[in-house]
Amino acid sequence: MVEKTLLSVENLKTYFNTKAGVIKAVDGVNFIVNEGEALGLAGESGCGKSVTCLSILRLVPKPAGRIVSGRILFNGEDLLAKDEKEMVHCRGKKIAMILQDPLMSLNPVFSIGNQTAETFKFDRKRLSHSSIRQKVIEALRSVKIPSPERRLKDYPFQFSGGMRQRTAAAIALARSPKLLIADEPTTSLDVTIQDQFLRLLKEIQQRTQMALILVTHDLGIVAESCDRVAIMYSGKIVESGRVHRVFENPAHPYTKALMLALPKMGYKRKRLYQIEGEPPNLANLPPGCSFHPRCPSKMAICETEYPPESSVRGGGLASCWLLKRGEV
Amino acid sequence: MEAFLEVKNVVKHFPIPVGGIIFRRYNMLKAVDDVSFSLKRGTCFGIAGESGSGKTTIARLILLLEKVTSGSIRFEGKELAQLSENDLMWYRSRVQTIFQDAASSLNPRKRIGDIVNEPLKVQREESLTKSAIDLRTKEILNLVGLGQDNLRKYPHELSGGQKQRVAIARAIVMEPSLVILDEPVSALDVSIRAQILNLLADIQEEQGLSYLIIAHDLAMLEHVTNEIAVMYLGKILEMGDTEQVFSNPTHPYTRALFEAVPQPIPGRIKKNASLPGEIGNPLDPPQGCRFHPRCEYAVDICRQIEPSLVESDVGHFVSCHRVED
Repeated sequence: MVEKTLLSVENLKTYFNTKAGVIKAVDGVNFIVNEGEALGLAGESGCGKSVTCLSILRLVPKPAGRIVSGRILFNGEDLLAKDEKEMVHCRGKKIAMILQDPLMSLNPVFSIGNQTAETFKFDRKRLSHSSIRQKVIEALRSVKIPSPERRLKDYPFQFSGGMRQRTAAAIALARSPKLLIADEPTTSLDVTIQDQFLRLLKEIQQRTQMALILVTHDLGIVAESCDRVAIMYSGKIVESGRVHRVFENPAHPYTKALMLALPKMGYKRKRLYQIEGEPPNLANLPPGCSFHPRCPSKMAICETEYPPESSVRGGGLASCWLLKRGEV
Repeated sequence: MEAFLEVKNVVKHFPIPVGGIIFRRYNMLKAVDDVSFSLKRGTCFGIAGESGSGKTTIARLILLLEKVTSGSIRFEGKELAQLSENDLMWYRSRVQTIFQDAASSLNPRKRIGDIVNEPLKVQREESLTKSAIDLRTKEILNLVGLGQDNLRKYPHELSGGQKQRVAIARAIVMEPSLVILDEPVSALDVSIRAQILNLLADIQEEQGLSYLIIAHDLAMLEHVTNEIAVMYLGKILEMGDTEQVFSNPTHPYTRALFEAVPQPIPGRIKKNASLPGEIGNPLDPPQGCRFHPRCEYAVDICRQIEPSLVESDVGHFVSCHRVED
């Protein structure tokens, strides 16, 4: 099968103006998503993964945030060149999003049926009332809400956490988008409910051949639900590649350290590998590679210049001077 | 080894008012229902469970933040319900806690030094001089890996990991023998999590502390605990030596839970379908075994009679009718 690029993000830079100075939340990010593929965007808090997603949908909070440069090509069209009116038609229909906390993304004063129907707002002229109702029921059934026709008049508070998140998914998927962006969709759910939700997402993805960007801090979720992964650190992608390669042979020192620092089931070790220090302050990034103050294999050049992306044996890219010099 | 914390048949019901003023009734929310376990000195006991399983309520009962409805909790041989005023002072210096969200457990208007030495000021007012308290504060901050330059800072000036270190410092400044940790690392990033877990392990080794860790992160619990109990709707379903429970999970819920945890191993194939349904309502728990509506092995007896915790192997307890099959 020839992989067709659906979304390509090129040198995206999204900055925020704050009292503390300019925060470079996303600073030169490149990645692609192929049709039908699941890309995991992983990283610690504040590394810019959510802002990257908001930039794709052009939902960066204004006026503090702005997309400084870059191109976001979706099916060959540059989303950054579109005006707001065109974007409105893009959101939901071509690219949809699920947010972390369904209690925040669902409106507490509108019924579930009402909120799901809102997605079809633009089709209202074309569709009759009863056919919209039918579509809403179908959407809710596709995410396995039991007897959806009887739950249309329920409000979000009457749903459990898992059902709320599935409703958010139903709303996002109602108009069969080509790309779904899920930003930490299971963080507020229990493990067994998380398992249900991730399996559901995978099932829908396989059925509809939809592409998925799954943002998460949980590397376990990435390993189980994604085809490829991009690891972010302080606004940049430090390593990307197929999950098998990245998890089994990580190339970047940060990725390597993350894999070691993770408690795994079935491995009882006395001590966990420890990454010294803390993630850097985005308003005051260290010069050169932003990981160098914590890096065990730091060299002189790391303190002054940011390493370019180099290809990794086994596929994928990583930004590290060690690779550039062929030492890995 | 002696059991120095003993929780026996503990029940905690919260009354939930229903109906109007005149016809008010109370439904009982059975947060913890007949739970027993014991903690040996110097070991680490973990309680795992999903939200609503009652694990935090147990911590609150041991910390005397809630009163037990029935049952007994004994600490170093003393019954908690019968502690006198003086004993309570002693107890509160022996048992300390670290909460999930360090940021909200630190008073934002106090300096780090004052937060850490407050227990000393309350408990050792007569016996310690001011300079001795200062010295001890510095010592403890060093121990948790915070430099002395943090003494006069406020919590908002610290990062998440540093705040958690302050919370640890405050808990161990009294040299307690038991520390109760409620989700100690779930709010932290992976790279910081390892630092904190290692620090907790070092402190335990140095001071011979016992830990009671409450968490939903099973991989973390496997890593740090000696014994573990898995809770579901206020009951312990499986309990035993951590290695045994993890290598040979016996209860269907424990098995499903272990399988549901995402692991950083690409290509892992899950053998079974995901666990159907959701955790039941603690106001109206299912008849019989509380897990039966979600259990694939459920038979008639599971729907009628509640199983009790029986020893399936040495030191490995399971509460299931079909444990033999």
